[in-house]
Amino acid sequence: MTSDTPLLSVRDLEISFRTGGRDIPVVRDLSFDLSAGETLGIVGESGCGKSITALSLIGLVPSPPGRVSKGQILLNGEDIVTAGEDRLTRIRGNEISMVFQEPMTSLNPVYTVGEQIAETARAHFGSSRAEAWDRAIEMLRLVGIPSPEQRAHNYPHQLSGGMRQRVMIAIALVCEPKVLIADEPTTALDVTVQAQIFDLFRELQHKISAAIILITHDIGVVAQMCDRVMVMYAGRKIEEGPVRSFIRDPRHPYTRGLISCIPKLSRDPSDTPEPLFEIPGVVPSPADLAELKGCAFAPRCNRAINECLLHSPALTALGPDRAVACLRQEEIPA
Amino acid sequence: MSVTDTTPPVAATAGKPLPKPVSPSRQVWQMFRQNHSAMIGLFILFAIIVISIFGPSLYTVSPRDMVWMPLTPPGQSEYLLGTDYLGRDLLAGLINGGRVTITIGFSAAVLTILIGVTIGALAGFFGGRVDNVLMRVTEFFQVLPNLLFAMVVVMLFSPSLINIAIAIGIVSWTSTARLTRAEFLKIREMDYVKAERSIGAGNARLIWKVILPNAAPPLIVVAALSIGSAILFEAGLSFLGLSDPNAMSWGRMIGDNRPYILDSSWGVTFPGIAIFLTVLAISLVGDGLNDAINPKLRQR
Amino acid sequence: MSEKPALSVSDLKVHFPVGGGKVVHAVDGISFDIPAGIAFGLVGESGSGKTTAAMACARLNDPTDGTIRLGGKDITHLDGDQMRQARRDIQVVFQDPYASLNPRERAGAIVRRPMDLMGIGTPKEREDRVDELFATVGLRAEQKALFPHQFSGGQRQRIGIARALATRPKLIVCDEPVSALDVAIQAQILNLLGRLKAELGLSYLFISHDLGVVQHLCDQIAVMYLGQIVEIGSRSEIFRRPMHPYTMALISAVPTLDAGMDAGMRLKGDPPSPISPPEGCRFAGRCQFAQDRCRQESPVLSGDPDGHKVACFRARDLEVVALREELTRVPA
Repeated sequence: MTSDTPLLSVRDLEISFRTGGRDIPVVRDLSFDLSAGETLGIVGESGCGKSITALSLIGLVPSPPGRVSKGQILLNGEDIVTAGEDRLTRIRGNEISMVFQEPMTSLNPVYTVGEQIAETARAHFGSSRAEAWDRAIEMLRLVGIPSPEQRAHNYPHQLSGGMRQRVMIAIALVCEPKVLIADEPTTALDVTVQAQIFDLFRELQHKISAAIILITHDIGVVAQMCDRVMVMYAGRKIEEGPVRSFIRDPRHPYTRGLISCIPKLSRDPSDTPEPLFEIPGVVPSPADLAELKGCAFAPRCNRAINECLLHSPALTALGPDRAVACLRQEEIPA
Repeated sequence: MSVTDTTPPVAATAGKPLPKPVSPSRQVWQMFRQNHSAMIGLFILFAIIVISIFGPSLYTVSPRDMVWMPLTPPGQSEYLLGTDYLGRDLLAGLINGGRVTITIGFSAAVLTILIGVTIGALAGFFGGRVDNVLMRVTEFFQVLPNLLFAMVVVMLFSPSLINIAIAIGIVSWTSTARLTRAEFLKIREMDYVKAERSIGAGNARLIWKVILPNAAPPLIVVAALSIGSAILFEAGLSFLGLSDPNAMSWGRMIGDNRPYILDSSWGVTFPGIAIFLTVLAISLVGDGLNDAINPKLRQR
Repeated sequence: MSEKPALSVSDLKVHFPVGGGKVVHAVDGISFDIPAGIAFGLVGESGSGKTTAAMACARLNDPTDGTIRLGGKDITHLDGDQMRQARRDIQVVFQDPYASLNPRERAGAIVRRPMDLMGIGTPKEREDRVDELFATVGLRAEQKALFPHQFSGGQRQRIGIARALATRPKLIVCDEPVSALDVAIQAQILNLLGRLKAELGLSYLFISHDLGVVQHLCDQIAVMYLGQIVEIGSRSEIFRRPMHPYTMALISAVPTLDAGMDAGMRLKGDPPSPISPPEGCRFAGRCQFAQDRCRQESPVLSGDPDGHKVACFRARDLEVVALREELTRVPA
């Protein structure tokens, strides 16, 4: 499905936050491409820079204290980092949309959901009120809300969590964006609803060939939804690759840890389960990172050697589309 | 109980030195200290309190004695700020009046907080019928015209300092009660309250030891600001002639000098400035506290 | 294993009035036993009443009807000091470690508090016990002086667990104890809970919406839908031979690591309102196998007296069994 020129191309991105009088980078040396119709998963624990990266793609890094301090974000060749606020307003919704984790706080409680979708449509297409309203109902139907004509008149609090998230998705998609960024879109939802939402994503992707960036901590979701995966740790990309090889043969110890620490649902469970694999400790804070010379994961890594504490490993290509940043990756058995 | 675990995650943190314990109140103080205007307010307030406490014994002119020609402007005699319509020293009045004004302000504020917090805490914690009754009582007091009601109270029971403070307290507790109730309603649903219940804590402990300390930050701001409003309230009552005849307060100085305002503007100006500075300082401190407390709430 | 179950719940109902004479039937007649030393999982989606049921078992909300027996003792209507003493044996670990610790108390005081309140031991003994508990959950004794905001999420949950262990309870109610934590931290806490259960012979009433977590930790599992238990059984029975269509839908909705495992049984719509639950089987409106009977009569939980039970008229019908076969086929 991928074409030659990427739709979205992030080059050497660095995002910094100003704390205590100095700029502390929270995302560093981040480059990746996204093609039309593709789904890219970004995984990692919280505090690894996933969400702030997503915000930077629509020019919403909270500023101050944050800013994009280096690099480019090219959408069809146009740099979002240097674009003005007017231009960004046009890009958001028209070309890139975002779905957030918490659907209750992302909807305006004083307008009906129909009005909110219609308003977005009007702002972007300049269509009439009646047209926009029809479009809103069409969108509600598309995202699988039963009896959309009535539901359009509901206020957000009258809908269940799953329906609110579907409304958010309807708002994000009403202008047919080329890129949809979904930041933990189903974390607050039940699994059965999550399954419905992902079906919807697949369907919409098929229909309008949008590219999706899916931020999640759930490796199962990645396995089911994504074409390609990128693992972030402490603000850097530490591994990337096509989803199958990523799951079958993770090269970075952190990725291995993430995959093996989750309790996997088995159709044939043992009566005495083994303890789960543990990644000890926690993600270092950006301030701690500034002090660190070597690999950011080394203090939590069970394969770290002295070398790891001294040198920060560079991202090394392992083949087409496959790269890892670990000094010891060659020694790690498959 | 024996522990036989292979790799507790302690290992990952074992090398690092522990941070110092930082209590939430300490965090607030650290934030507060960085706020310049709040620190200036605190300094002014401190200075006013020190002057009120030690001033009368250092500057021994009596505020009641006629010491010079009446209505002498400032700077024209040894009495720096001039004299009032009875020839009394204005500076002595200010220094002695500070004591009375600030005492009334503090005691009225304490009363406001005591009534307001108790009623709000009980209403918010128990909810249901208790809440209903207490909130109707609160509404009753809220719709009374404050100044008139306070005047009635003061007139019914002689205008002594205590009665004035009580009158102010009685008419101003309602908003504190509402705020306390709102905080209690919010905090009583927090898991740590449920957790305290699950380890056998009774209602009294939950109300006073668990919820109240956590509801305290916004209440402290309100308490600070209510000292300011109590001072203004007292000035208003004095201005209308309802002041303790035996005590000199700033409000009473303004009230006394009001008829001569065209001949001697200084007679009302200096006590006015004193009230203004005190209330301003209290507001600065209150705002500073508010700013220092809120970021913590946000980050939680 | 002792004779009496650690917790025995029969016909528990918890109803809340919501004004206008309406009543939320949050928990509507559930019964189960938790044998000593067993982790009992209660799973279901939001609104299924699992948390309400668990909180009623810990007497943190009042049951409308039914009985709760803790180690054979009826605690359904205990009050005041009697309930306080009963709480020694049943403790709770809460979902959100950021909300369940009093921000104004030091970690050591938080863990010591249950012993203070229940008058256990001398002050010196309590202090020693706190040190011991900190070590048990993998914290350092020096950390006692710190305040909750100085800990990470996982560490806070360890404090919550230490507090629950302080009175040496027999049963711990765990309300989604890992769902607010990062994946890597989840594993640490789940391993800790597993180890404590084995070492201390604890029983758990474990609430979760995450089937993977429940499968990992729980020996017995009950599936709740709209205030009722629709299926109950051992770990292997529930996952090898799920009998209720809802259980099957839940299992099939969990994304797995293997591509193409997503066999595609999808629930449509949302659960009906617990204010006026439908007549008959409450799942009938979303069930692909529902027949007229399902909409008229309520199925009763039935099966082996001490084993796998299901509340479904059609659980043994061919088409349901066929779907199960397809869903539970272990990939080669």
